[in-house]
Amino acid sequence: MIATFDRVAKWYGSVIGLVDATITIEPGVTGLLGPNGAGKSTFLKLLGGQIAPSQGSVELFGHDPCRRPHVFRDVGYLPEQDAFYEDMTGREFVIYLTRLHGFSASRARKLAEAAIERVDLVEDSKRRIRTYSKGMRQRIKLAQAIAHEPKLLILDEPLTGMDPVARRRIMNLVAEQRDAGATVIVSSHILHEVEEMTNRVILMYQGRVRAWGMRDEIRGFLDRYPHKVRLECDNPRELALRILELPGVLSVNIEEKALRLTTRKPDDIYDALPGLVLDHGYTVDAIEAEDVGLDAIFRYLVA
Amino acid sequence: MPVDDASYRAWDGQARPSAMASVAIASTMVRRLLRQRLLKALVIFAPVIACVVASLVFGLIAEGKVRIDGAGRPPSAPDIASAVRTMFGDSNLLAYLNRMFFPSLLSLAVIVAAFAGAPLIAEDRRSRSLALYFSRPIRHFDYVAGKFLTLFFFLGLFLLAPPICMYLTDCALSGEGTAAAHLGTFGRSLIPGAVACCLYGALAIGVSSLVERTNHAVLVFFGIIMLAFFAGNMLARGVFRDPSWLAVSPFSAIQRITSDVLPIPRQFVQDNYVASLDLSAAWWSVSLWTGGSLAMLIWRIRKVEVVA
Repeated sequence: MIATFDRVAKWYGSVIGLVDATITIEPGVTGLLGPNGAGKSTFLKLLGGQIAPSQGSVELFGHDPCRRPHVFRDVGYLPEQDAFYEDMTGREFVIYLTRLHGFSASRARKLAEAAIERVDLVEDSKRRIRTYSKGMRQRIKLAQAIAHEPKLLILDEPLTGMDPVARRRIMNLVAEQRDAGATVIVSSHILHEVEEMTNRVILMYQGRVRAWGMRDEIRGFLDRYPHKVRLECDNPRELALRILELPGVLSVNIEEKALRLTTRKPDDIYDALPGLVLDHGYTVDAIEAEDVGLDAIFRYLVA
Repeated sequence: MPVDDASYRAWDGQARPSAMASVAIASTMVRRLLRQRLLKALVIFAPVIACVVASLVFGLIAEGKVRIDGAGRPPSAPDIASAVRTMFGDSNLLAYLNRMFFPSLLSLAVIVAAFAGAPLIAEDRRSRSLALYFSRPIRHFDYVAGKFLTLFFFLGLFLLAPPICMYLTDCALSGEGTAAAHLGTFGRSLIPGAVACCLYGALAIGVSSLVERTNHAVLVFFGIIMLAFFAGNMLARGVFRDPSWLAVSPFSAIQRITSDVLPIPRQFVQDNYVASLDLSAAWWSVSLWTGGSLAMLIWRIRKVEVVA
């Protein structure tokens, strides 16, 4: 395992940052989700050893990150806030921070240049950072995080301020890191961004970890909330009658060329539907599970 | 999986990354600070002027145009007039040159320390760069050491380069045997600079760790030096009428130490009253100011969570 949180709590004076978090971070991409103020940044700072827990323990690669800074030789960190020397060029900035990993100046230069190329900032890397746009700042921060080819990449709101093309590039870069065997933890308050990158999530709200694991597993645990399924078909009334006979179906709403149903057992619907279609000759154009997205899961969790 | 597990990915950086971190921090910070014109001018000014003046004085002496008497006071019109007739005692020459520079150098070193030291940590706190530093495999000690090295570079260039330049000029122009004969004087001439480096360096970086804005750090640093100077003088001259109270001021303490370690007669110390300050009190003052500043820095760095 990469990191563990064991009953971790963090207070900033009387303000709660994180409460009773017990989590294990597995290899792969993990999304850290929650609205602003949910405790995402506190979580990442604890993981990055930048603040110490008020209670409980954090382990990164089996060590306390606050006491054993050597664990960071394989960690790349992209902070949420801008943290620059504005008078430096982007290239100087990345080389400098790469050197802090113990690389010689020449090796750091090569690694930095490769990272800058990966974030597509080669042309602007010799400009001073003070002239950079928000998106370029995010990219140069990402370059310094990946330059030393870390095993664990911690990205705090990496897509903030980026245009769609840059967002896509960063998402692809996260996928590349994952495919190369790195573990990536990416936080965001925009759910669909994370949804595109991973199915493994940690959902946070008001300083608490509400759920963590694979998205479908989390949804499966939310028994209180029936699943909503929308079917587009040619004969919704007849299909609705058949579906109501299935166990677990709670309600069906009929629309002109579609029906919406709620069920506690969505898998039964998906299993039975091919038989219904074949036996009765219905045409089903589309099946859509309406509330398995992170948006719906999150809404249920904080309700 | 612990990072020191044999199955963990091979590390191709330095064997001890943190060992090089301080050097990397210092070299980068020096380059950045040298972009400031004032600082650049100050650090270039001191050794260049030292070389020029030393060469000039040695040249004039070699030509017999200037006489420096045994007491080692600055040349006056009668001195120059009698330069042809009387040669100087060479053992005082280096001391004389140092005496010309040190009072003004020590004053200007406060400016160098303020402008070079103030931004070192304050800027990192303000820009939240500490988060980037401490997500690297470096210790707090490496970070602080890097910042100290940066400031020592500037203060060292300013306070230690002039004596070195003078000594080299002395060796080059005074003939054979000078290098060995004047080594003691040269060694002593480095001590005030080294003491000032440590004291001003610790104080400037300590102050820098307290605030988040560079200009605030500069003001606080100057404020402490000025306040201590005026408080020391007021207590010593007015309230208690005891020169020991001058030790309250680190500036006065360094001046007193300078007057002791350099073979300069007390009457040539800029402020004669400072010469009456007890030497041990001066050393205590310097030690307490330096130690106190370091303690403040360590407390601050340990206490402040870097991005909270």
